[in-house]
Amino acid sequence: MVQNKIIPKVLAIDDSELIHRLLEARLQGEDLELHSATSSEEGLQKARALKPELILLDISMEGMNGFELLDKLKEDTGTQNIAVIFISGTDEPMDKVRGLDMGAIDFITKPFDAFELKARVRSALRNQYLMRMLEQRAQLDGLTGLWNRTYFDNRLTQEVSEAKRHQRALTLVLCDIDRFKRLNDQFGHPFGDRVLKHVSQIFSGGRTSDIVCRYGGEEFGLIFPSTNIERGCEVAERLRVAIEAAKWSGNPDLVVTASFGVCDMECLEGDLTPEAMLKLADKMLYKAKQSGRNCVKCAKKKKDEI
Amino acid sequence: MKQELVLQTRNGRRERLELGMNFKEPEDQNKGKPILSDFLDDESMVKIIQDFLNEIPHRIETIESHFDSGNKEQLCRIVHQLKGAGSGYGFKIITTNAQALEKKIRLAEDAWQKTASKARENLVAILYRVYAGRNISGQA
Repeated sequence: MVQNKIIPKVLAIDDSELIHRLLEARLQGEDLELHSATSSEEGLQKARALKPELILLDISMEGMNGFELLDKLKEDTGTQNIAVIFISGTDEPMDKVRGLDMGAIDFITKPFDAFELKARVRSALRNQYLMRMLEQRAQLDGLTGLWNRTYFDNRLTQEVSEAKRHQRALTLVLCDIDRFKRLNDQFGHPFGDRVLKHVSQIFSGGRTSDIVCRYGGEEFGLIFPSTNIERGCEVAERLRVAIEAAKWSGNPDLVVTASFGVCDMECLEGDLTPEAMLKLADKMLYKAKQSGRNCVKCAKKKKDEI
Repeated sequence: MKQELVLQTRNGRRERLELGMNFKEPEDQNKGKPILSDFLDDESMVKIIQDFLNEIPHRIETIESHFDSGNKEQLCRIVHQLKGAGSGYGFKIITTNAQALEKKIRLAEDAWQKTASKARENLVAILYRVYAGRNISGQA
């Protein structure tokens, strides 16, 4: 359910045009997308914007040198996990030690052999892919394949901050499967798992921009970026109807339902924080449960309240 | 009459460079056989080797002018780049000679031009010989 990137991006940062042309020719045909920057400042900017899997970094550059640039990359949470290989004309062992100690994963000395370059780049990308996969696995829910609670918390914080910065809408939906314990007791836990998996599939079949997470137990958190409360409630209602309409083989008469609490940034009072958003969505979910379950309750926008 | 060199950069931009008195046609300078790239039969390299060769007059010009004006830092930069790229383009001899010159310049203090003079002459002579090979089949 969670998508992997297919073609890795590699950013070459070197102030020599000759080296860029050489890298382009030598890495042609490799399964990667090569980008280039001819100064460390441009390189830093591109690293932040592109978030490549790998950076090939020269040491000796005018202005900020490669070591200083690596320092900046490691300071920034958005770039600190990018793999860096130094490609340098220096053959000083202490430069290699310094680079590797600072967090570079490899060191290639110029002039480089084309086959060695390709092999080292492939190896770095392979390791990076495995690292990302492990990172991703640690944030996935084992049963449903959805993002887990850790991911949800981080992503909500990130989306709230983005929405504030760009003054974009953001909707949060909390959903809880109704009387789930009773389902488990009546039909057994394997059936309960089947319900969780099927509901997850319904949620994942929505818009590609939606972020669907298993919040815990039979509760789900859905983050809708660039979506206002009206649209968010429509989507939640569609999901509610889809769950209610699901057919359960072996139990043809069974109807599983879910309750939804929805809010957006404009419904919040005071500070626009992820905690405040979560609290309000939870309050709306509670209202939905109190109103007889199997319904969607949406918070009001502050300006619409009398 | 001043000579001009038109370069096409990697991103497709064209640059017109004016060559001064420091660049002379290889016939006057060439004291050895033309040097050819080790990668002549590598199709992926043909275009970039051709561009590299076309830019040699400009590089000689730059080396000579930085040397004459005593611009040690810029001279080191261009020589360092040639050291790093030479072998990659199939000219190990450029890397070897650029390395020797870079070492001389970096190690020497005040009288670096005197100390590095011979190494500079060697590198420039090699560059002329590489440039002289540009019209030989497969390289241009």
